[in-house]
Amino acid sequence: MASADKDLPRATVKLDVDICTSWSHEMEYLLRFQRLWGLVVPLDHPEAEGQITSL
Amino acid sequence: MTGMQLRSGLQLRAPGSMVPHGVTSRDDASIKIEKTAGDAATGQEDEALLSGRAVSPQQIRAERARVVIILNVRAHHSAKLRRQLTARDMWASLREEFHPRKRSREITMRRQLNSLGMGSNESPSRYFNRDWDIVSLLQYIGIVVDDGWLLGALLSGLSVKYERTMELMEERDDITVRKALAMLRAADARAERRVLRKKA
Repeated sequence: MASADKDLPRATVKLDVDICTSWSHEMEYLLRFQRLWGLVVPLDHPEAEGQITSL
Repeated sequence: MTGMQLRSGLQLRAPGSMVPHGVTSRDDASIKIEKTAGDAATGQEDEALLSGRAVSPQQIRAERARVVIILNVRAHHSAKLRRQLTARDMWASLREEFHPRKRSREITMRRQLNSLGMGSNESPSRYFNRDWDIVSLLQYIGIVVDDGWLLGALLSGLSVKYERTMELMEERDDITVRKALAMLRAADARAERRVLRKKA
């Protein structure tokens, strides 16, 4: 995972074809925990943060 | 003039327009805070700093989200994902590629529900709960499972030790899923009593 911080949640396995649903749930939790979920969901989603440009 | 605003929203600073010595601009400070938070540095933030571009905290967070996603997919997928410039595009691309289509999920779950079998040591409650899990997943994608369908699926997967109870259920017109579960529990209780009587 991105962070070295031990307190942060981690995804148990990396994404592969057969585990998409469980992986995406874990990732949603992880991204929500880091307050990044709004930057990932589609723009028409109620939790979406505004349009941003890439770095 | 200290710089120019690009159409992308990024700001280019003129070479001589750096902030005074010892003073940190707000954007630089925010980048420093983000980078000391222990999260992945992609090199792009450093690149942005070196090239004098102003990077908003939201852009840094978006980049962090992108890195979190890319670090959690297998290497052979990540090569393809690097083409997506934002976390949002990346997530949409993953969803498009991996998320099971509604129709295929429906077929899979219908098949699971209809072919579910009770384990040899499984209690009726546990078996029914497994079925209800599939029912709730089907409902999540908009497929309503009526009581008759569920009852048929449940009874067809019952263990042979409940054959007598199944015959009793077939004789009743008012049988529902909850009544079936109650009858199976009662059958279990009777069987336990018989065992205890034999021991005594």
